[in-house]
Amino acid sequence: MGGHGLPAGARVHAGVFLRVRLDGVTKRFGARAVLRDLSCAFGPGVHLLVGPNGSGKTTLLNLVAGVLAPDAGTVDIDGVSGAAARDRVFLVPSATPAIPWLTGRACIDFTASLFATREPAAAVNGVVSRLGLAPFVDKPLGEMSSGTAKKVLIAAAFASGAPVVLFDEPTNELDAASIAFFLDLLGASNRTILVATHHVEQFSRFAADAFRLEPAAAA
Amino acid sequence: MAASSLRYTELRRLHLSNALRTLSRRQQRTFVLVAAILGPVVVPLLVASASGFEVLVDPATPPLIRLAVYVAWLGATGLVVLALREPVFMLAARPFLRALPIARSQHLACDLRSIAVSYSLLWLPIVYFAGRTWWLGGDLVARVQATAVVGVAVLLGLASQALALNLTPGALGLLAAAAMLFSVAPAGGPAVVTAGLGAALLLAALALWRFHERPGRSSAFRPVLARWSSRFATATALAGPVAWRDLRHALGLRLAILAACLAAGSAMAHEGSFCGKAGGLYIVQCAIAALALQRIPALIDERLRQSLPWLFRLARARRRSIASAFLATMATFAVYAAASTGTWRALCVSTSWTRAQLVAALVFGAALAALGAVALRWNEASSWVATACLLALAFMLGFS
Repeated sequence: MGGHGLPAGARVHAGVFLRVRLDGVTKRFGARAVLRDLSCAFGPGVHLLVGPNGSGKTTLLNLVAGVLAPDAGTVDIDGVSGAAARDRVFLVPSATPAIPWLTGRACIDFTASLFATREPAAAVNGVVSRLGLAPFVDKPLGEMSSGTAKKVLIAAAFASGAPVVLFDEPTNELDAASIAFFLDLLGASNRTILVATHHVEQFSRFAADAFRLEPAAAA
Repeated sequence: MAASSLRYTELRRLHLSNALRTLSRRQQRTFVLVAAILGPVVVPLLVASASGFEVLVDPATPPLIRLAVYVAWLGATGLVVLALREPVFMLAARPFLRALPIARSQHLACDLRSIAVSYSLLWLPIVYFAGRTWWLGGDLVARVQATAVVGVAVLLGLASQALALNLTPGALGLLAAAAMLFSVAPAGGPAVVTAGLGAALLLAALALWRFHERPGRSSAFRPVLARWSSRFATATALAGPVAWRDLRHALGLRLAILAACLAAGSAMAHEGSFCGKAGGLYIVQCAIAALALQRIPALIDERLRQSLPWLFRLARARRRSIASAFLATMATFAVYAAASTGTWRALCVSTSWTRAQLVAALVFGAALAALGAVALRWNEASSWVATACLLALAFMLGFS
């Protein structure tokens, strides 16, 4: 994945460039605090978010992506928070977006076109091909298997060139060859990548950067 | 990858047109049938709707009636938007789209355009009204004022519906204040009208700016609500939460039919010449309400069976969920019948309400309960039985 210099507002802490920073973040759903007073920071590289169901992995990704707003605390990317940070983040959700008529190629192209950092077409085509997507990329999403649709989103995340990429359970529906290529793609990247997963063993080479979330105690 | 990318506005347009095309293909036969049967009725209906706008712009109209006409317009258009909510708002893909760097203004512009497109035939009364206002001549100031009043009503309606996805108490308050201002403004002189309508539009714009597509933040009231909702869930053996989570749009559609029926009754009562037929019209109102509500217990029961089969097998829980569904349905009908009675009584001074109206409400209430039980047993197949029974009852009571 492409390289990015230090953007304006970026902070360096103890020699580590911190791209994503959560400071005292609390997020509640009803009476339950899913995240309570969470502070953490992530620099370039692959970071695993691990923890049991309901521990707040997806919530954390949604907070970083700006889909949810924290009830307390701040979330910033390169020193920027809120909607202004949205063009620096690409969230690959666990479910396929329900736009059944949209072809895989149009989906990749549409999402990438929203980012100023988009990768050149040749590089994207290479990723599409390596993911085994080429025979299916012109099919509508509604006619794809969930695994193929997930590959479309992975290709779109790569095509966007976004400096921060968030994956929610990315390998759930992928075949072994695609998982291997996906892991290579992550390993070669110098972006900040957060991966929420239960399959830690698949990501063993990144295990040193695992961030464990525990279910917050009831309010 | 392709050189020219799909734009967000185009994506929204294509999603809506694809959905409408699929819908019209699926509903083609029904459309033809409805058009054949209702064709001669459509024109008078359009004229009647346009006359609603005349009530809206008339400076002599009391603010409450103006508010009622505005709410009726909001209800009628809301019904269409509710029915087409998925293609209009791209509901299922919305979380994905929210995470993309798409400006809020673009989301808003697309929402407003899609809502406006979904109105489709409901634009006809507006065109008819505008045509009449400008072709018939008369005072220019009055014509401009009338057009502005209807224009603002339409814009307020669009804003309210665009906020439907994030209808927080704050947004609701601003929209209610805008509606109040709108209902009061046309009674004054040109300066008051301009200031009032302008302020109403400003409030609606503020609501859109403040609340449209803002990332979700938890409410401080949620813990209290959560406690009550948990009690509610237990008391209804999960029928309540299931109805809210899975069936709120289907139930909302039925409630909207009731609201539209009530609004139509109010408009006719206000018009005056229908007061002599109040009894017959009340019966029709009750029949429509019973028809709209009769499948609610069956819908809830069916959903419980699908989503919580383990609960469905517990006879006691099922009995409790069915009882609560019936109770809620009957209570809704009772409130509706009382509101309908109240409207006719308040607006038609000459109407003398006899025991016959009470009998009508009781008969249709009983029919609703019986048809609900039939629907529970025979499901969708019972719909034609319900229609036939309620039609027969309406004729019997109407001609008695």
